[in-house]
Amino acid sequence: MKHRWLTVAALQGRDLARRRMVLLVLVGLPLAWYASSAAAGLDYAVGSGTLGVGWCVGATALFTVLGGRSVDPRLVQAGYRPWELLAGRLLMLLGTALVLAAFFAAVMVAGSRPDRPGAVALSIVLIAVVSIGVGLLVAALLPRELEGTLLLIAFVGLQIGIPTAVAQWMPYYGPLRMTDTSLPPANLALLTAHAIACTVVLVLAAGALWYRRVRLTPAAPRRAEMPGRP
Amino acid sequence: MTVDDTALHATGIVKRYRRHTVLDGVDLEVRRGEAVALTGENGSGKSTLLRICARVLRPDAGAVRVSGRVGFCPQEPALFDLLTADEHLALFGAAAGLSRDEALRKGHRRLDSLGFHARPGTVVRDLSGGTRQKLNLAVALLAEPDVLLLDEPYQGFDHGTYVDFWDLVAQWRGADRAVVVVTHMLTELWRTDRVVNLKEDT
Repeated sequence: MKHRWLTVAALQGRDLARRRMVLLVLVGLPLAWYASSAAAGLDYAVGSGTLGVGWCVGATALFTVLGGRSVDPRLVQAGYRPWELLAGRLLMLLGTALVLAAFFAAVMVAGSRPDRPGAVALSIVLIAVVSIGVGLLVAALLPRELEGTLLLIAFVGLQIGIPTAVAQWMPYYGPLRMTDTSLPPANLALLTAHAIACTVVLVLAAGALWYRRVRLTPAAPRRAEMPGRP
Repeated sequence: MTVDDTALHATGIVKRYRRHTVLDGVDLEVRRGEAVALTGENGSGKSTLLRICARVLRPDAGAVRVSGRVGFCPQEPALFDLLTADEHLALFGAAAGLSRDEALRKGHRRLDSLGFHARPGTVVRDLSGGTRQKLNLAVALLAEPDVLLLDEPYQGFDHGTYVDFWDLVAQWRGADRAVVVVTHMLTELWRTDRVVNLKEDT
């Protein structure tokens, strides 16, 4: 059968769609972050909402991987190639991230009427995409729900207060810099490239760690090489 | 035993978890058309050996050679909580190269033989433990495997299904498949060709 990764993507999507409370939080949490900051008249309301989108997409990626933790090795044993599982999962997460980003871009542009609405929309799309990599890497490093969630909370929280010299090396630097109205407008192309490069690095690192968990042990050596065989 | 009869050949398997050696130079050979019961006390390494034979766990030493396709049923159902039985059949069927229709047809036949009853659209989370276990076993059988590695697959089965399960083991053996069943049910050992007791035999 061709395109087995599409089967994986479709079924992972159904799995997520049935998690009604998760979907509610996915929309509700960034909305609450943005609305509370905007209602208080804070300058960084858009940045706050953007970070909320990032946290939610990262958490979705984290729980999608952890939800398949016991099934993934079995699926590989049953015949899937590890990249098919990863590609299917990425496709589902990317679709979810883009839908969420489109919704919040519309809400925040309409609600805050920023000077550069294109930059705001781009920042939300980029943070959603880069957060897939963040969530996948956290899941690969700490494959347990509580520890992974705490690490993700700590990581996202850190983005707010870290000095620029350090922030430049962080995956959320590009999207958050785009929403920072206290600084002069930055080069969007460079910031976009930064976010995409971070996404690629994060996904590759997460994929490599995850692959070590799900790969099958190598086939046995040829008969002549087997111990106890003439 | 001729070389061609061998479906599963594990030699010199060693597995350690930190300082604790679970398996120390274990050998296991199973022929086509043979049903082997793998027994042993708790912690003797039965599940570990089965996972190594299924190639989902890496041994510290030793080699596993399998002839043909392997069907592996882990002790704990490894399924997605929020997918239905049909969705699992489609997912595992695709792994075996089956179309969705083929996977559903074959899967329903397997599920019927195990007495699986659930309303269509019921997700795994809402199935009873025994029903979930039937699905866990059915997806291992989807690809018509030559070697079946079953880790206490009958947990939660009602008595009738439990009896049917051992009849199915006899059928699979008759169909020239190699079957390894991890079991504590000593009363059923007569249904197998050979008993391998870890610790005693290894």
